[in-house]
Amino acid sequence: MYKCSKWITIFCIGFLLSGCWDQVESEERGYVIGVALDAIENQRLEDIEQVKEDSSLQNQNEGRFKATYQLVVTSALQSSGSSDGQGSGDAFLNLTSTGNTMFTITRDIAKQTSRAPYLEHIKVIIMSEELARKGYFSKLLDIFLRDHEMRRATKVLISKGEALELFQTKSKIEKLPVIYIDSISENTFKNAEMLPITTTGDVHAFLLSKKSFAIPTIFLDDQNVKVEGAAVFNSENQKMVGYLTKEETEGLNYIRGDVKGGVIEIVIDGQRMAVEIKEAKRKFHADLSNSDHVKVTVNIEAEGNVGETFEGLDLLNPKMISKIEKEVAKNIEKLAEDVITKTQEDYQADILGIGSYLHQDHYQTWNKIKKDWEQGEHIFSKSNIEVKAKVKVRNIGVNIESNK
Amino acid sequence: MKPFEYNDQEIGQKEVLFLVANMVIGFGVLTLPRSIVEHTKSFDGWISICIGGIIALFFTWVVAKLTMRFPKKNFYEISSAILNKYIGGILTFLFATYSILFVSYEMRGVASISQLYLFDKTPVEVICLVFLLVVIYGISGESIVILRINLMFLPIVLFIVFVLMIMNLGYFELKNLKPFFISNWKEIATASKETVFSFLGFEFLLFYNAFINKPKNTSKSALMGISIPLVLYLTVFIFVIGVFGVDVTSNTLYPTAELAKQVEVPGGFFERFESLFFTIWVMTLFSTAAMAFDITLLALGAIMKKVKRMHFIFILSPIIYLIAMSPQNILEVASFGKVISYTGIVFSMVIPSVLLTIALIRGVKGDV
Repeated sequence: MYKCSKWITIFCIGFLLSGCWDQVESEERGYVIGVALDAIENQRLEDIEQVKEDSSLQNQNEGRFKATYQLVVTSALQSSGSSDGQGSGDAFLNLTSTGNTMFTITRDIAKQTSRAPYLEHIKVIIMSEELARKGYFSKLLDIFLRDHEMRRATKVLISKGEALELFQTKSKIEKLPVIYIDSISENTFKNAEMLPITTTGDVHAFLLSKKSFAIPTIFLDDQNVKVEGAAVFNSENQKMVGYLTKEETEGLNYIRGDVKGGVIEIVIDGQRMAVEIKEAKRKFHADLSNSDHVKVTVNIEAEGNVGETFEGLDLLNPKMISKIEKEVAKNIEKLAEDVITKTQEDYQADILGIGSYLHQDHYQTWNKIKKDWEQGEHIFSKSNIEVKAKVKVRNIGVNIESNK
Repeated sequence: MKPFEYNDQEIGQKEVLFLVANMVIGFGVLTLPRSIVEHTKSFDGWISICIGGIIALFFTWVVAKLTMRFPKKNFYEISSAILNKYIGGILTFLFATYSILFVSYEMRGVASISQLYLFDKTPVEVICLVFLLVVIYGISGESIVILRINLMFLPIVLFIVFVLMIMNLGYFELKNLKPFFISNWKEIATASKETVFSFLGFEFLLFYNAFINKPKNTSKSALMGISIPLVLYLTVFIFVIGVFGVDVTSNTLYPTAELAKQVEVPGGFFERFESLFFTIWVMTLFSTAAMAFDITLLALGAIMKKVKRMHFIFILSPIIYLIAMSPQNILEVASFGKVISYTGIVFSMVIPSVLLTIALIRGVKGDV
């Protein structure tokens, strides 16, 4: 008996101490930090509805999508810290592959690199406008929601033009283009023209709720990366239907209550002036007495400081302040009304969050009208949305006048 | 005063509290929010958790009352005293079968979820085997060891859940909880069924009764013990809905685990908070599985007094392993879980109530 248990012990020690089955040394991993999704050619990319009907497409081994994975070159990151790095190579490596599904593309990437792609740290996914317009947005993102390696906090952006190009930009501040993009997109607390970060988790919620939604857009503006404006997706087939300009995005942010900071430029007494918005809140109020003609009031309350004036204005005069307040409020109302008209008339997509509000606060009525909200009767487009803004100027800066 | 206070085979009321709580908290929490939302389709699921909790509290009370009538007796002795030796033997044997299934299910759950989130390449079979070996190690000694381990494990587990909630406060959105009071009673009732399942586990008190040194307060401690999972389930549910919303929750396989994945604290390490969460979560699954295995041994030992504990372990371990490995995919694991849950209802609610009723009518009592 003693002998037997000795052997069992030895077996167990050998078995349990042999180490971790899934062990991969962290320096041997190919950390993927960003994915750019593009269509290969115009002709080959058809609308999502037609895919299953044409079986001949399945035989095409070239594929219709092009994905670029950006990997971190850890060694380049370290050496460039000191100035003696002789081969000043890029700290990133872009690997591109094509295929019909994301999974095959991902596996194909593994053929091109010595380090197996490790997807747990993807920061940013950028999809080209073309794919989004053809309705591939939800399809191509599926893997990023389904796979256990993925996180829900990956940022999603839509690019005007080719997404791949964005991964090749060089910035002096960051060594990795993706990290650069990632940091830019986080600046929404300073600028209301950017849509707040949208993550894969948010996208998942959007797609499941069958509501229209907006995703921030990114583009190359003369070799500079810019995150500005938004891409609008409709609820019906989750295709991208159009863009919002930066002003419209700002209006959208006010309506959605997403403004964390921004600037409103006004003209007072023939002088330009910038008012910094510190905080903005919004409240919806709905009048549902006639369910075919919904009336919604958007009450926006903003607080801000005078940030900059061009000419000496008497800012200690209460009348002046209330004048500024009224002017800023008028501006905000204008911004909001513009985006409302655009979403109601051009896109017929309720990205304003009014549907969600009705769902949450007027559930009974919502149940009756939700089918006709954005489709069918288009109640959303017919509804009467009114914006009322209220602004409070709290501070005027530290000096009263800078020139006289 | 004894030289070594713990050198006895007895547990106090504190241990009862912890054993009930730890037995109940298990694999179910990871899927609970989804199984509720599948039925209620709104935040109203919290009502179902409360209903499930009240049912569980009532039957825990029944079980505790039954055990308090028969101090220091195990299930075999209780049922033999109330009915007769043969029926008692059969019931105990069935109970043992149930607990074998319970261990297998818990093991398979550990294996599948740790494979999904932690070990990509390690086969489920190997994870299962390693877990089983650890459980065997845990139970090869006295039962009392497992019961005392609970005291150490439960606070750690509750602490990590607390940390998980704190970390997710930033993602919590109150508006996700709206609209409420929109589900009808039928939906709430079916969801309550799901929650009752996740409160199972208190029936194991029927065996551990034999170790309780002062049985007078058993019902109080057991009820307190079952309140811990009740509060835990409610908090987890509120947070999962608050963070993900109803639609996402109903579409996520393990919503509670996703909550751990959601956590993102700058600094690298906590980007993989889920690995920490799972490591600690395995502790509670370990104590649940170990207690269930221990109950199997106690049950079989009560019927067959001549067989040694170690021999039972050697015979049962391969059987448990084979049962755990038999479901081929996630759907079969789920239906396996369903079968166990229904059996659990029989052993935790039906049989104790019947026994208690008969005992009350015939006035059977254990000698005090």
